[in-house]
Amino acid sequence: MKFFPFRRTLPAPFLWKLLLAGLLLPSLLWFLLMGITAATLRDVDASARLYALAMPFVTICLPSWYGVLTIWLIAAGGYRACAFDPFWRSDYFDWLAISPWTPRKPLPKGPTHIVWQDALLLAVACLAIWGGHHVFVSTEVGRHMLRQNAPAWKLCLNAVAAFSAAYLSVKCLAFFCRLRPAAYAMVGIMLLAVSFESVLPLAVGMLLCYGVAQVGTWILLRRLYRSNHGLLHPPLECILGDVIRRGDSRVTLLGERPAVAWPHTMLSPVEDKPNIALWEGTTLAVLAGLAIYAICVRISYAEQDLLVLVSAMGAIVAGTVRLIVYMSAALPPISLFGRALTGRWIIPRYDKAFAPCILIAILGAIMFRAFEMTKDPYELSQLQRVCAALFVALCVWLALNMKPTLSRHKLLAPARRQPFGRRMADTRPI
Amino acid sequence: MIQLTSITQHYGVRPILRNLNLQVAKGELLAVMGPNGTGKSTLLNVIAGVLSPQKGEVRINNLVRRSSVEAENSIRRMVAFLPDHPWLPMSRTGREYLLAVGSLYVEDKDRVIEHSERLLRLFNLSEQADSAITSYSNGQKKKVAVAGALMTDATVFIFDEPFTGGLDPAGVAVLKRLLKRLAEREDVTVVLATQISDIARALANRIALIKDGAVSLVDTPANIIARQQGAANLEDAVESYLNPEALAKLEDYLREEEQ
Repeated sequence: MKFFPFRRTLPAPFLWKLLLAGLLLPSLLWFLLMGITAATLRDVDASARLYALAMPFVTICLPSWYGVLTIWLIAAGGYRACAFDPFWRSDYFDWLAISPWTPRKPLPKGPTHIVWQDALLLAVACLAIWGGHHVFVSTEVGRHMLRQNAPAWKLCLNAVAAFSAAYLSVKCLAFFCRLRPAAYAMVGIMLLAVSFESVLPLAVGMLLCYGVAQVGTWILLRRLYRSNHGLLHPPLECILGDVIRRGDSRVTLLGERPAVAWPHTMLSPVEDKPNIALWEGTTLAVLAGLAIYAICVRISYAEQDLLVLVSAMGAIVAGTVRLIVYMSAALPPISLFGRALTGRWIIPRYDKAFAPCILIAILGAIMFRAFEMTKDPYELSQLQRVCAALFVALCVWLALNMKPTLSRHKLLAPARRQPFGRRMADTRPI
Repeated sequence: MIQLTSITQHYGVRPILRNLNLQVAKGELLAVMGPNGTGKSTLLNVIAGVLSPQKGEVRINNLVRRSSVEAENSIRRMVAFLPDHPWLPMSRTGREYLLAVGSLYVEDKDRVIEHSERLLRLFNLSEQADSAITSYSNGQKKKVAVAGALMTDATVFIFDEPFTGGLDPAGVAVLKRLLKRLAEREDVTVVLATQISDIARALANRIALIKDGAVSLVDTPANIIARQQGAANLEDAVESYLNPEALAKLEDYLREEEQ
């Protein structure tokens, strides 16, 4: 039986954890809340909407109790998604893996899906909002922002969205480590929903995301069950997974990417899998394009330059990330410092890896010129938005998928190998 | 077999290896000797694949380094490299380190566990095996690093000054015997950089003397001694070949001191 190589909740290197926790979670939350806020406050005037877009936690500016309630609901949603999920608790996972638990039985610590107690919690929060509605509209800040009384149901919807957004974001984060297709599906659905700028698509999007999250959780739990069977085999077979149990001493072998020392990290005979497969690079490119489109939808014709700025930023980020990743293992004279020192800014044999960055720069120049030519001061056409999204998607695709791949570059680049493991390996979780 | 052809390696504008050619036969133990700063470590780094030379090619068992992904991976599977100052994951235990290295190179997991146990016993590390490497002494760290290289079951070993770094006499004796054993195997090729001529004489089939970034002499220890007339041992022979003025300088210095 195949032993699934996962045991810990987050096997990714430390930097990935930081990246995911620091960028992905807030950005997904931001998108969800921005979408729901923009959609629910659609009937208010332009200045208030613009403020709401720039500051999705617009409710924080409302009476303090409402802001506190929203933050509390976000925390509750996040807690609900990870507190009972074995994939976020390695001790719980370990215990479950050697217990006779099967996916047909309920999880001992509690369900990971939404239950009636969660609905009760939200109902109480909504009741509180409904009851305190008068307090809200009577404040000066509220009057200035909305210039009219916001219906109580919209505020309740916002509160429910805060809880759901946090719940789905944490689920999505877990899937990024374990089940990437599910994570991409969730982000894609939400970006599509946000692009429509009304409540119904957002509600449908959230429901769909919830469905994907539950299916994803079920798949992961089934894998856990299979790994459970793996542990019933003689211990040596479990080494494939990464755990050896011998008597009372437990030795942990490192997982898919062993954190071994120099020179084994850099001269390892284990073939590097491509860091990003073609399908994954394409998916990320499509998602980046969707994200840019979702932002562009909210740009009015008066701020056309913002569209260029947003798409240029997307392209710059894509090109820079490739540059940094491919340059990270370089030592002088290949490194930036070495080039500055020797005055050899172009090293053709090595620099062919950066061809996509040059291509992105050329594409950017063409795109900028085309935008200038088709600029209309009175209207921002759908075509321009789509073109900006396509441009960014293309740049991300080029940066992620164009050859040479990182693993090939590491193997064949005519450069000195830097023991990158010296910095990284010791921080990787076992 | 290891074959180096026209290897040229610069650090910045400073040439280290100049048009170096060297061939090591399969099953041979070659000791690389030479004064400090002449390129011994650089040569070993080039063979190991840490450095990509500006010119020339490295061929190991008829596969050229960095010529293709397949060739590079095949070479990596058969080569184990122990640098002069190997880095170790300080927060991991010695046992974890050995198991992790072994699992990279060896398919048979049973063999990995059994081999790591034997190596830990051999180097007297059984008691510290489950402690973090950071708590080890310098000699123990060197032992773990050597054990890590031996865990690989490679057929080409490249050792850069393995006898330095605080190894105790027992550790030196064990390593000498291990290398002797490896040298006797026909399928294992070893390249060893060392400054200790006794070790080179005891272990090496041939010795390569490096001078000014090139191989100036490759021969058996006995022939090297025979070449240098008046040399009593290998140390004298190597010294008089690589640095003929050294003895004269020493005599001058001592004479001046006495005056």
